[in-house]
Amino acid sequence: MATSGGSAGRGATPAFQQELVALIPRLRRFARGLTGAAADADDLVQTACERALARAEQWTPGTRLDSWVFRIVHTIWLDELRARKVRAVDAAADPDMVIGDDGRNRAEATLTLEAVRRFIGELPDEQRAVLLLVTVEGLAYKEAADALGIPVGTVMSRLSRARATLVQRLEGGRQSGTGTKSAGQPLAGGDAGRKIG
Amino acid sequence: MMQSVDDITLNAYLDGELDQAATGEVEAALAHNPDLQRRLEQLAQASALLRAALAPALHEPLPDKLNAFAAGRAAAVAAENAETVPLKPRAAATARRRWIIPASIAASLLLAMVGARYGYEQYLARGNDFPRLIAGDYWLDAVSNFHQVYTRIYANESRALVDIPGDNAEQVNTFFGQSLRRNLEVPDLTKHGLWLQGGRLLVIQGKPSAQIVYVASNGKTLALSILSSSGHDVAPIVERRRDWNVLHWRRNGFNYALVGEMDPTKMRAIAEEIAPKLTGI
Repeated sequence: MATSGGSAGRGATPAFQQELVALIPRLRRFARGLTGAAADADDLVQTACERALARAEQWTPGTRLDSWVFRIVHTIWLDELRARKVRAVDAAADPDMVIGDDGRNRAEATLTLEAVRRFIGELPDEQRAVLLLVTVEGLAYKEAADALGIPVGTVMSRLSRARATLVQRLEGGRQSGTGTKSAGQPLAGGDAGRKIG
Repeated sequence: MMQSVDDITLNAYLDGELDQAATGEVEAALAHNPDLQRRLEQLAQASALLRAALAPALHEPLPDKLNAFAAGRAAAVAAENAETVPLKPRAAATARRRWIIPASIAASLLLAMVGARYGYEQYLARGNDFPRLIAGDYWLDAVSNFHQVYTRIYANESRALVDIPGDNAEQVNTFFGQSLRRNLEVPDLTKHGLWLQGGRLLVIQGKPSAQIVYVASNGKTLALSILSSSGHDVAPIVERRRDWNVLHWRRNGFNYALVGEMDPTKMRAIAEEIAPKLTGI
């Protein structure tokens, strides 16, 4: 009953619980994209899974479970961001911490997956969520709109801006970059040491 | 006529969100506009890189807390499943159809495979780093795009889904066995309500990939794709591409993917059953 991982709500059928557990890798990927840090992402997924389990009866069987849980992840993350902004009045201007803007760092930010991970962190929060849900998690525009509580038109414009920025950064890196340093870049970078607030 | 397409529309095209008429307009514009092709290529490339950049998070081992959560759920499920529910046998499929692929259609499909045409081959030709970066993820895009485009185009036409009809499973085995240079026994999924339609051969990243197509009595299809790989083994994971679920794993030097509009639980059950049988050289 009180197994680790919180208590299950009325709607938490065995099938629901199995599906939820099977979703964990994708939830972690989404959370990693949102937060940029492995530890934050795992905390976020943990909280979201527990909330999903407790509120299972709010999910409508027959609809996509992943969209529903992505919405929970995003809602919790927005709350966390708001809380952080209140807490971190002094640690203002963190864009510079995301990526150094001096020539040296920029030259290193060539076309590598590590650079892409940094670019994601530079996007405005609301664009990042749309970009991740549609491009990485494969949600349809309508589903992403429902998950984020915004109109489809807003999904389209945010997605378009986010991809345009990503293209711009990738192209910029390619032009100003002095060759790629991607050869030995590990794909499985854990915590990229990036900070967003 | 319309030569210029804005970014929002181009993105919607890339994401398969446009209706048939709008898709046709974009493709007509693309055919004569190199700048637009280049833009589409950039957007497709950025998207593929984004997926590749986040792919590692999908396969990292779970931390203790999440592991405990998953174990707790498994225990709860096991307790409730004390009495197991047997699968209900399905009614036989409606008449099986024999489908043949016309060459002209194959060509237009290639055009529709944006990710492949603009995202991969052109970069390969330029000696760009891109293909290596997205290699792990790319083949999934290719097989799922291909299957989606195929089924979309032929939604109302009962033909052209396979190169080799499934009337003779032995023939399918031999054909793909030779193509992939391995022994292959095409899985029998009739007890899951899926009938072998046949197979088709795709070329992905310069390598042959077998796609074996099954159909359910409701007309929905499920494709099993196989491609050789030098990567390490990867446990099965279900991902989404719009309305489609893509369940993929890697084992003993081969990538496998199931693509279909099917309940992910059911797909996992199928994968668990066929994965051990498909291993082998």
